Amino acid sequence: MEIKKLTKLDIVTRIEGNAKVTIALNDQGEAEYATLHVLELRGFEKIMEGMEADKMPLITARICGICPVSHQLASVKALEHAYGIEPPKAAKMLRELMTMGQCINSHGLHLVAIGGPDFLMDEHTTRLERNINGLLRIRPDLAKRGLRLRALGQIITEEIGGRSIHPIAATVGGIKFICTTELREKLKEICQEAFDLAKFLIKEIKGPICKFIENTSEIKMETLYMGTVDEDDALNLYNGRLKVIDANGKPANLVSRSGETNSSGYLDCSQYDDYIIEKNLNGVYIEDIEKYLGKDTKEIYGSYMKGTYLRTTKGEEIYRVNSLARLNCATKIKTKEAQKEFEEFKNNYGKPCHKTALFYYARAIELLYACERALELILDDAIIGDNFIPVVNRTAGRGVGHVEAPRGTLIHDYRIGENQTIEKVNLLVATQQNYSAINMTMLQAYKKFRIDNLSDEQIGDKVESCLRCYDPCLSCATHAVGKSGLEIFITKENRLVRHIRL
Amino acid sequence: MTHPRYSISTDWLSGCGGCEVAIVDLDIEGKLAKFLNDYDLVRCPVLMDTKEYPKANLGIITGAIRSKHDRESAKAMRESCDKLIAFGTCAAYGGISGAGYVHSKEEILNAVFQGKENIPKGIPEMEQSPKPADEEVKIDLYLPGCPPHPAYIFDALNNLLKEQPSTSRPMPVCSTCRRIMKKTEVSVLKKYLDGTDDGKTCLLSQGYLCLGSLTMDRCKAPCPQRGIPCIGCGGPTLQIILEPNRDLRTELAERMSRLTNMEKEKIVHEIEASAKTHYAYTMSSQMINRKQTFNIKKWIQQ
Repeated sequence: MEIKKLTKLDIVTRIEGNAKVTIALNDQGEAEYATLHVLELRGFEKIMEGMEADKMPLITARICGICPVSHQLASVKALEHAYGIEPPKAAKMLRELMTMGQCINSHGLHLVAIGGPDFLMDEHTTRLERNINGLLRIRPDLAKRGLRLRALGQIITEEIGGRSIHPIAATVGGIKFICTTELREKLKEICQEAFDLAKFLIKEIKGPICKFIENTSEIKMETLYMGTVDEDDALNLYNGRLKVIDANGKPANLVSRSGETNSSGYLDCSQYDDYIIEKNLNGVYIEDIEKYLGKDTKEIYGSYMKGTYLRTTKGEEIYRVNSLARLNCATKIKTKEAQKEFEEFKNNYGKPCHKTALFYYARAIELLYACERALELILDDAIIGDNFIPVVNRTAGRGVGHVEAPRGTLIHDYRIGENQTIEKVNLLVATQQNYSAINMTMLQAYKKFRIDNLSDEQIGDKVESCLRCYDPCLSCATHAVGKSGLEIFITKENRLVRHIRL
Repeated sequence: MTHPRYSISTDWLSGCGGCEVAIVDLDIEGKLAKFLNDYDLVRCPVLMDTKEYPKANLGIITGAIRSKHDRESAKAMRESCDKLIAFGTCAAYGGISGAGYVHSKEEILNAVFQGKENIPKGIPEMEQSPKPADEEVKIDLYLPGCPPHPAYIFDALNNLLKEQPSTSRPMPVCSTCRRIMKKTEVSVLKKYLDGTDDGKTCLLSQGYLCLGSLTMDRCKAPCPQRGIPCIGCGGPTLQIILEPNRDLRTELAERMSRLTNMEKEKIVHEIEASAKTHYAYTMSSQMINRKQTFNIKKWIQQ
């Protein structure tokens, strides 16, 4: 299809990172492609080469300031996989508790401060008002409690992990943390307070989220979903195996690199590269855009972020990760209150369900689960006990580790040399796995909201609000972060007709 | 005494977003409400939709300069703000984002996209080498830390805007660490995962390469106190920065050789062998890489 116009929703705000959006229109004036351009690259894969393997959990936490716990744990698990080490039970519980702390912070922050204003504030709120400050003015009860909840998550992470941002405690063989009786009592109180706040919060925000889902009901995609489940097929964010389902909820028919079919629906994370393909944006899109812009263009039309696809009997298929994908994959949630919410969610929307705004609903349920699970973990006496085993024999070889980061499956894959330095690294992060779906979602949103009586600023904001359902985190995605702002360029027949800075 | 309400604008360059979370984390100590009440936040991309660069009394830059895009953002911040803070180790010294210093941009792109032919087209221009914010714009105050502990954030703001004397001292991480530094007979250099830490003695005395004595304390020393050797994420102490002949490796080796039974040269050699880890946070800062004794590219090749 020949491209006739490029609309650039340039630079997105209230996401974690730096990106622009382009929408390409064909000669009929219909939107043909929508693309998120990630603008920076730190290159962790290269930076990490030659560094000491044992320092990786400390270094890789710095990939992301919002989900450092996940990077630290994926890193520790990758090293433990390479060395063949199993940490003690108490260590696993403490690591899971840290994961819950982070999930409370990340989901809480997104539901109240980052994405929340999109559905918690009136549709006619101006852009300058639509943020946490504005929400604090109109709904101080809700905003303050939401902020308190996420702060409690950070306190949990800090107490166990040593720091709330870029924690340090998780280490090969366990965790460097001593849980005193005093500290445990304090954590019990914190977890209880968090659980109470989460019950309040989900009650308050469920209505507005459902309304948002209704208002964006055309924005949906029937994709594959990937998430982590435990041995009972229940939701688990720290440990378990990967599960992949198709759009009907059946196990996906995966095909490995060597051509073998896997119809079990389950994967061990070390097999990820057998089934998942990483790809950059080059392809039909780039050819069309290049034809339109001309070879010597200075315009940015590519992206540092790589997308991923699952290899199935149908070819290379788009899949989604993050909250909705996890709930679509899991059969149940093992904590009582969250399971109740999950039942209601399934009754109302079906399983699996595909509307993109459901990511918010699923996020709220996971937030409740994280608080409930945190309380359960700290109340369990097994959390006290040996939580570290010294590492005697460190071998060379490959190690792969995975966890569920708040935004989806995170995989660290290292090759470790004889001298215990890192020789090769591959990181598969959450947002890149949603990349193709994000592009499709923006295209759907643009088509839906491109109604004459909406201003360009309003269309831009609507597209952004749909993009935010994925809680995209680009610091992870390209292992880089940059700045924000929003511009729209509208071009016609190779000529810039309008440039709107929003 | 009441002060006028100061405006604050923030922007993120090449970093991880952790510094932004650190500002939101003022809430842990109940200080976020005070922050939002005391200051008028006019721009903050992670929380607000302000896309332009409004005038502000104070600008906060986080992250290093990695692309042309970052360079332009830093300049826009300088032009729109009366005073500018380089917030966090990336903005101050390049931080972990600056650890790409030892590689060309082509090497990085090749590694990330697994081959030259896979590098996407139409991507924004990368700088040849990452660098701290002050290589592009004038900085009024440096607040290193990865990220800085909340206690230091308010101190910096009060110091810069309200002209209150700073209570933050330029002390090393050791000043907060409770371990006891003493002479031992240790003769083997240990890696982080080697042996068992006794929980009381200075990690250097025990033979672990801990950067605490050379790193500015903007963290309150959580790592060494848990038996994790400091990796220097807060950036170097003033001693290292100001003295041309002082470098992390020689300074550390000297101290460690006095505390143990190891020879200085042996320790220097060890640090050079794993230089990429030890200099991870500071190598792209000219304060470090312009020192005549600094030759990381050679050390890495060996």
